[in-house]
Amino acid sequence: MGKIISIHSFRGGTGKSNLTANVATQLALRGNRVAMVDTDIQSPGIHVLFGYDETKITKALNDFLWGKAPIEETAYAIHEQAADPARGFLKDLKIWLIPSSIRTGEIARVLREGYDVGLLNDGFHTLLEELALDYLFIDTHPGLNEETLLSIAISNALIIILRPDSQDFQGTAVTVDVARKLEVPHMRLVVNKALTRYDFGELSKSVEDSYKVPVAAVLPLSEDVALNASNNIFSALYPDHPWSQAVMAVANDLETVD
Amino acid sequence: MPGLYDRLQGHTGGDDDSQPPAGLTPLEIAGLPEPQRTILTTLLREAKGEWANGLPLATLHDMLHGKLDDPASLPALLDDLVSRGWALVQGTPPNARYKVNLRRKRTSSLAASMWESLSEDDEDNGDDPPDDPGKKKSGFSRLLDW
Repeated sequence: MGKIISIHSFRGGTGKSNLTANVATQLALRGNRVAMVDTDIQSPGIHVLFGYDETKITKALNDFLWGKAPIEETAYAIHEQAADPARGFLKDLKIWLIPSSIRTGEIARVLREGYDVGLLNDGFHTLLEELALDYLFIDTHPGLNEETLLSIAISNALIIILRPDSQDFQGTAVTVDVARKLEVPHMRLVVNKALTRYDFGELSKSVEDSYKVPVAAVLPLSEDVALNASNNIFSALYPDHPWSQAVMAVANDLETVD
Repeated sequence: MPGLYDRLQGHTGGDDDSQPPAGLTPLEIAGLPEPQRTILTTLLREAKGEWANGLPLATLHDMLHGKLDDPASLPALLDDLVSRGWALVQGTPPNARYKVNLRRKRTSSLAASMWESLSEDDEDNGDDPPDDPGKKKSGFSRLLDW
């Protein structure tokens, strides 16, 4: 049975979607079958990293949550984006994306009307089974809300991203506490946007000591990644870059999840 | 999973605010004491694949091995969770299967005029865009066939 992996951060702008897309792609490049669900309904974005825009997303997770479409009709086989020469690495990958709608009205509707979280849970499990997934990634909304808590509760593994910033440190403590209460079997921290002047080993140890949670990787603050501007999967384009190596360390860790 | 009535209520807007909604949220699960929390998180996490429609008592008993102070109390604890509306049961013992009863997300209490303004965009975009001619296949075969 495939594993459900939630990628979460207490605050926005930590690089959650970027990390999700990169780790998922790395696992797919190793021959795994991988899907990603963008549950950040209020501010979706992971589709951008794979070259999707509003003209290509005809159905989204929102349609499933409203009962307008089965979950499979909201999924996109990302290999179809390999026609773009810059995304040729996607050609043979078994990787799918279930995006959230980027239409203002549809975002407003799901916020206004709510949805059945049980249905969202069923959708995750249908994807796991029907696509014979090894990994299902859930890209969550920052902070703690019902869909985020559901994602944490059903996950086999939880990755919490934080920046070396006091606000992130305090918020992450809240998330770690909730995840412990929900008895997530495999919890890891990833420190992102760490200044290269830091000693990454010491930073990692300090974070582990603070939260009593292992650190899977420390990702450097990188102008190269910033220049990519979420336009593509950086670690697939530049696998030898230190940032990409840290992404691969996260993928290595997830391959150990029971 | 909420029953048919709960789902229909959600679609028809027939919520009765005077009655507490059935089920519970993940946040409420996190706030429960042991052993209720452990039972519900296990039901939630393991209800997949073969157990997508719920876990049998014997399977749940095995999964909770070493996690309950009194394993023999599991049937009574499950009965209690069902009676509170926090778990759903299908079938009867010994073939009963148990599943968490998640509550539908609460709707917003923001002013209706604000939502109406935002929702105008729905009409501009069209609710059901035409299908891509290149995606005529339906179901999971569309996603798996290349």
